[in-house]
Amino acid sequence: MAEALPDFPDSDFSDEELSPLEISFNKAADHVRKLTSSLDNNQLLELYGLYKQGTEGKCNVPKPGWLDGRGRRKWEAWRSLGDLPSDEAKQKYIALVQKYAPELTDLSTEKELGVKETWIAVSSMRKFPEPELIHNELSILDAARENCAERVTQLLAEHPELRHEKDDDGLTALHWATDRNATKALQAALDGGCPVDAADECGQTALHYAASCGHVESTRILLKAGASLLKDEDDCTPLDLAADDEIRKILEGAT
Amino acid sequence: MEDAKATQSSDYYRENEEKQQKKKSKNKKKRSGGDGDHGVSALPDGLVSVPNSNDVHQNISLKDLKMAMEVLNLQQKPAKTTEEALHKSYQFWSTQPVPKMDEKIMSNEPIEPPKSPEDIRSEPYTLPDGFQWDTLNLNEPLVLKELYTLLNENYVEDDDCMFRFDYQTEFLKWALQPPGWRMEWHCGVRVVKSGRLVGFISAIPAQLRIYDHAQTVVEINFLCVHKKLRAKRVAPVLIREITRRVNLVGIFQGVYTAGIVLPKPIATCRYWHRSLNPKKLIDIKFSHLSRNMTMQRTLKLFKLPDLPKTVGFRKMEIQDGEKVVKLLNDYLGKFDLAPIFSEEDFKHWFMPQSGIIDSFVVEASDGSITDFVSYYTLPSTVVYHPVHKTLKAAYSFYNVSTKTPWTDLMLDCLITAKNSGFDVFNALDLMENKEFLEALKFGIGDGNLQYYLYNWRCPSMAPNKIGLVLQ
Repeated sequence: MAEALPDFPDSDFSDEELSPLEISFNKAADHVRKLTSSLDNNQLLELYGLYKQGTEGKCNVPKPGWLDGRGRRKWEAWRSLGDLPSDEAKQKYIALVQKYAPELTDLSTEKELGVKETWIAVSSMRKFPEPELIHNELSILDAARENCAERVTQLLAEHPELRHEKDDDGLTALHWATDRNATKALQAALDGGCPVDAADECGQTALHYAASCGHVESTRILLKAGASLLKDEDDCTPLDLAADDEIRKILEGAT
Repeated sequence: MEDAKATQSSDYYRENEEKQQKKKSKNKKKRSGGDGDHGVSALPDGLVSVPNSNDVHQNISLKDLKMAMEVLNLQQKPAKTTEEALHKSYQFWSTQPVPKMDEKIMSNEPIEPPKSPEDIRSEPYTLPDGFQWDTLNLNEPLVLKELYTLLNENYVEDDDCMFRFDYQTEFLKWALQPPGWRMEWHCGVRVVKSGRLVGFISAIPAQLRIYDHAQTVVEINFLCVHKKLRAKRVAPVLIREITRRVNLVGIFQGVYTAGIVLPKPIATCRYWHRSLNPKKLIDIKFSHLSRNMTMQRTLKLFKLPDLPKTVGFRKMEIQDGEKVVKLLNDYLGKFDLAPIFSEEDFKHWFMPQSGIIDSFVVEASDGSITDFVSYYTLPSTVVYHPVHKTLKAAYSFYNVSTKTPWTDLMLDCLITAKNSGFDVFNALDLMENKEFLEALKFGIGDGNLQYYLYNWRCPSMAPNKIGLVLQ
């Protein structure tokens, strides 16, 4: 029996099965069609090249004729990837789609609402549906939370007063971006002039949020932008609330 | 050429989807690209904007094929709700001594009488060509490891799942070798040629009270068929074979649980989950932050005190066994379906073993034991995550409160789980668990657990009348 253990030949079976990477890749590819209107041609060409490399490997077709300008550009996008292994191309493709669609978080699986249907399943927390977000209509706070840096930049440029926009709990764009460790939006909000030490209703700054949530990168970004270690209503500084030693160290380095 | 094919199959796809909707199928699993937006949009310069039109079309045709297969297979898909199950025919289960889905039951009795020894088949059931039975000796580390691997890779059937049970080898020994266990009830199927283990089913003996009737039964568990073998319908043969082996020792009743609806559940329970490490759970998408909730508030919400606060709360020790088994058996008298533990059973199931089972008691000042909590350790593999590979989950087992209020007792229990590094504490809504689930911030899960009896008919029970927890 022992000799049967290592590396069973799979010849007993015929079916193929998808790896988690392939599943995510397919989902990312499916999502692309919803994104197309928001992407420019270069972005699309990059996606195209990675898609072909991921599915077919190294470019293996002749260059289209000069009349076919579109075909040639696509071919070049594929060809430019050279010998990039297909799994790497898939990973890059997924990362790229996620970059363009930060709201696309469920790449690895599609969660069913309600009840799982299999003989045996690991129960997880039930997800309650929320309305879909429309990217180019996001408010400053939503855009910060969803890590839509471009939208944040655009809104702050068009309406500088949004730097001081707060929700009912006193959270600014900075608080929301920090809370989700949405670092791109956080940077965009800082660059757009959001005051780094703005406090919520409980006297907590974005740095309090970064520290208590244990968001390393956000902590660094905020400190770099000159955030101070202020006290909140409970007399706690971000250092007092630090989630772990790593955060503590970063904050201590700043004082 | 390809375009034409794609259009055709696209239409075919829609047609089928419509048919499906007409059937009011509850298989609402959203299929990628199934929302009809196959249209390929073009950009101003005419550059096709989807990866490439050909690619998309190839994609579609493959999906259509798959979809068409699924339409054909619809009848064979497992039912997830009782309502759906009522409309299905059960090729296999209709041959078994289980109640029909629509059966109204007033009695509490066996469905068929015990078989006489000469009526029990003496030879194992026939497996498909190329497969053979093999009784697993789990005391053999290599065999135990094979079972571990089979379950780890195949027990959770859903290929899209984000989490798979990761039953540890020592846990499997605990679950499969309680007092009275038999090796022939650790029933494996191997490929003849390679020796590879591709199927398994187990039975362990138990005393069970069903309403006011005490019955010797087996608990059937760990039915698992290698995912590449599912089309061969091996599961029914496994069920028949374990039934035969159990019948041979004169036991004719079984109890089992499943996520799906089969004829006929005696109860439908639901998992609830208490976040202990909310940031990780959100990270791995075990739980979800709603848009208007902050991580900062979430972390505060689930924060627990550093140490248990109930006076006399401590880890259970071997000398507590005698007192606690009585406390537990007395308590289980409240429920309509509950095990009856011998002292030996109790020691096996509840004496703390690191990484398998934890138990705590509350000892009063007079030395009596007034309350008891226990949970087992069952991690899950996080299927696809760059950082986190394992979800450490504690599963509520048996708890008794006679003096300490439920919320105080279970809060202390949560604290011990948190301090042992668990990410989440899971509990079903059975026994008296509803007394503390919401108060202690458990969230409802997405998985039902159906309870079944084999060769027994009795009226169904509400979850709070179920006093039985399997692994």
